Formats: sequence, C-alpha cells, structure tokens
Amino acid sequence: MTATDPLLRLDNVTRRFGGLVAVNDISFQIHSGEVKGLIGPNGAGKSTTFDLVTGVRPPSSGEVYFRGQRVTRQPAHTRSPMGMARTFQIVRLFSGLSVLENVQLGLHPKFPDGIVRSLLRLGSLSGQERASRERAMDLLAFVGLADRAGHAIDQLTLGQLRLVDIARALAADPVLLMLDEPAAGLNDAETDNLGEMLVRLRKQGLSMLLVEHDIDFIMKACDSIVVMDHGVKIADGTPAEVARNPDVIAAYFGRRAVHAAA
Amino acid sequence: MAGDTVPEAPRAPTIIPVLVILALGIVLPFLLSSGFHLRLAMLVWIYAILCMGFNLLYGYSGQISLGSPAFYAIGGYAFAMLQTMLGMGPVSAFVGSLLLVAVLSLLIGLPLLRLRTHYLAMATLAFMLVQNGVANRWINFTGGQSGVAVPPLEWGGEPIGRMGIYFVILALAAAVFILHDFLIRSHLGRAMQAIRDDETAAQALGVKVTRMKLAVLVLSAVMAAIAGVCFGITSLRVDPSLSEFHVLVSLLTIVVVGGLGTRFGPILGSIIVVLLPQLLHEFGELETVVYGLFILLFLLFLPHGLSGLLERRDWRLRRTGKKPAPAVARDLKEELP
Repeated sequence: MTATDPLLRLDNVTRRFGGLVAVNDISFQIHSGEVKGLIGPNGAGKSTTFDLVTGVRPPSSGEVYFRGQRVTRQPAHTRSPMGMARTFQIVRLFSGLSVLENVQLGLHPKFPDGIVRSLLRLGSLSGQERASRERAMDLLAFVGLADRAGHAIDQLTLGQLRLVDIARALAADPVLLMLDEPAAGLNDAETDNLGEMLVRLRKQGLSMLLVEHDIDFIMKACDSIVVMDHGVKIADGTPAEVARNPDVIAAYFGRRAVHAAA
Repeated sequence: MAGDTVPEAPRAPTIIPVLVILALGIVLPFLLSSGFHLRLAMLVWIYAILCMGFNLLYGYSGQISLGSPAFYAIGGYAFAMLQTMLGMGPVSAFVGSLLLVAVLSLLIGLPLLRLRTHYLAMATLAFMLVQNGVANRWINFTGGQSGVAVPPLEWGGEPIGRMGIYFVILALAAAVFILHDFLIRSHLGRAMQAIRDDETAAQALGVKVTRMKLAVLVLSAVMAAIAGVCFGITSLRVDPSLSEFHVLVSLLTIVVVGGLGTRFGPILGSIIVVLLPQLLHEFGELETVVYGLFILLFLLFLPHGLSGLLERRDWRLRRTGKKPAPAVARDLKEELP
C-alpha cells in the first residue's frame, strides 16, 4: 500500500436480496485521516453498504479493499485485527459483562488465540490481562465513563451505552472507525457530547465512516459525504457541494423542491 | 507508576478458593467413616467434572447442548472396551477414550453448532437417545443392559484400594477444576460470554465465534469423558444407565442449583444433588416429593444458584491511587499512520 492509496475502497459493489437490488454499483473511497459521511433517505441502502464493508454479509458483485488488501469475502472477525472497528446502530453490548469487561473485549484479537495457545503462553497472560484492564480504563476515561467501569450494562443510559460501544471499538487501535447512526436516540446534550468526541478523534488522525440520519450532525462532522438513494450513489463531495446538489435535494424533498430552490 | 491505577478484576480474581476446595477434598476421605460415604464423595467429584464441562458450554458460551450424558457414557465404554477388547493399559485406554470422544464431538459439532437455542438442544438430545439406543440394543458389542466390566486399576500388580481410587478421581477433578477456573477468568471466558450475549457483536470485535463454540464443545465432551472414566473405575462397570434421562436431569439440576455460568456452581450443585437424596431418606415414600420441593425453593429464591450467593453480582471495582489520566489521546496519535 503506497501513501496515496485510499484506506478503504469500494469498487462497483452490488448487493441483491432476491429480486431487490439493495446496493447498486456503489464505488467510493476513504483516504487516511478522512471522515466520510454516508447519508440517504430510509431504504437507500446505507445499512446494507455498512454490512458489506464490515463483512457481516458479502456483496453479490464488486470488490472491497481495506489498506490495499481485498477483503470482499473475508468474514467479519478478520476486520478487527486489520484495524477496522465498528459500532452498532442498536447498541450491542454484552449484558453479562461489566462495562470494563465490555471494553476489554475490544482488545480480544491481541490475546493468544484459542485454548491451547493460551495455555502455552500462561506466563505472560496475567501481565497482558492487567495491561488490557489499564488500557480499557484509559478508554473509559477518554469517553468520560471511568467511574462506571465496574457497573453492569443495564445501569447505564442509552447515551452512556453508545460511548461504551465507541470505547470498545477504539480499544483495538483501529485506523478506520465505522459508526452506524451513533446519534440515533440521543438527546441534544448527548449528541453535542458525541460530536465533540468525534472531533477530538478526528484531530488525532482517526479515519471514520459515519452513517447518520441527523443532517446537521453529519454536515459538521464530515470532510466529505456520499449520498445514496434507492441503492444508487447520487452524490459524493464536500458537505457544501452535496447540500447544493439538485439530485440530493430531490431525494430528500422531491423534484418540486429543486425548482423552488433554483 | 501505572500499576497504581489498575482496577481490581471485577470478579474475585484469586485462585485461593479453588485451592481451599481442593484441600478440603484431600482431607475429606480421612474424615469419612464408611466406604459408602467415600463413594458418595467420589460421585460428587464425578458429577462436578461432568457439570463443569456443561457449565462452560451452556453457562458461559450459551450453547444449550444436551449431548453431555452421551459423551459421559462413551468415555466410560471406550475406557473399558479399549482395555478388554484391544488389551490396552489403563493409561493408554484413558488417553484413547478422550481422543475418541474429542474426534466424535468435533464431527457432531461441525453440523450441529449451526443450530441455535432449542434446535441445538433437540438435535443433541437426539444424539444422546441414539447413543443410549446403541448401548442398549447392540448387545454383541456393548453388552446390552448389563454393560461392560471395567478392569480394576492396579498398582504394582495389586488392585488399588478405595482410598487410592478416590485420590485418582480427585486428581482428575482438580485438573478439570483448575482448567475451568483458568478459562472463565481469562480473555477466553470473556469471549465465551460475549458469544452467549451477542454473536454478531463478538464477531465484529474479532472473536472467532464458530471456532470458539466448537472448541468449547470438544472440551466439554472431553470433560464428560473424564467423568465417564472416573465412573468406570469406581463402579467397575459401565452400562446404558450412564446416558439415561435421569443423568441429564441431574446435570440440569446441578447447574441450576449451583448457579449457571458461575465459578463454583458445578461443585456446589453436585454436593447438593448427590447428598440431598441421602438426607431425605427418612421421608420414605415422600422422598421424591420433598426433593422436588427443595429444587423448587432453590429456583424461586436463588435464581443465580448457590454460587450466586457467594459471587458479587453487581460489580464494584475497588480502585486504589489516582484516577487514570486520559492518556488514550496520546496513544492513538502514536499508533495511527
């Protein structure tokens, strides 16, 4: 991978569900350090695109490249060790584990793999466990939840759960963070807090793909935006460019709105 | 120094309680007056071994597989038959029976672990019924109802006495107990619970879900086989009753009474399930009714089992020293391209 290669590249990716083409010939790139937004009306194919990139399901055709490697058909569990982390639209934390243990799971790929290998490396395990606890505490402090480390998951608010989810995703030192509607269900204060945190992460050079409904939020947070409608990419550019694009206005407000704007 | 800010592990992190339980196990036979009591003590350990495997599989990984009694029986039969039919020594028969069960469970797990919840339960239950049917009806091979005799363990030409057998079983139980404890306190235990709570999220975090489920199934089957071998060397006979329904019922009762997905649940549950019927003998005809009543009370008032009483359910971290500084910002900068 050379310096100019994009971090993530989608080449003509299509996904069909029976007769329905949920994602139709989508191509876009995310460069290192870039924060990309992916928006579109309901049913535009954003979540399916997200699933294709994270390996939850494979595309019907087309290719996905991450850090110069083809990952199109690699299963989901291979993403985290490669440096791609994700959060979930509906928070999916492990209810039987404490907040701290949830974040520690983000570090799972760094531990020896499997029962036999773990037993062979018994000597270094307790040190590693200790280090992972320390790192998880640092991450909880970063998202402002250090005092909740020992709590059970059901003792937290939705806003806090989102932050734990992000801390868990950050644990594996990702180069690309994939956020699936991180602001959904949050109140204004929580959304502001989240936005502030994403700005801090962006300043640190973390690349992100942000799927979001909240237009204000995404306009502020992103360097560039891809707009989808009915499975097709209708625009790709800076927030200002996208906001002026007649196809985008049509997709959100109907054709008549385009004439009104013109 | 960074160590100042490291929080304690959420659940009691020491191995001391494990060692205390094992020390009690060493002292126990010297306190018992009769061979019958010693046999009950052996049974407690045998059931504990069987249930620790089931605890890892169901309690921690959430895979409700009811095949354990079948692996328990196959372990016992293989240990006996490798000796009587192939003339193996007890040690190689022991290793051989564990290998056989490991391979068998792998072959069964590959297709069956695609199933979830009650589908997995039904499929593995069917496996248990098939195994039991074979043990009962393939008389020329398995000896049918009367089963197969297990050659007594010997040491220097002399059969090992009851006390010796007890310590062989205790040694095997200790190995299983320590492995069980290591797994649930390590990153692997965390991964198992993640699989139980949400497979998709576990996968996204890099947990190899399919491989992990298969590994735990094989491990729990091998633990069941160890229990089966232990049963063989105490009873000197294995028969189809090893994989009958009452074993499955005992297994489920033990994990529920002891506490599903807890460190000491299988051992505490085994003690109750083995000893309670003995204590209830004086109720005569009503024994089963009173036993059922006890189990009902457990379910109502101790939903997390006996072990749930001992383990802290809501985790509070004891933290020493200053609050950790948000050092993550610096870390990320260094590690990103």
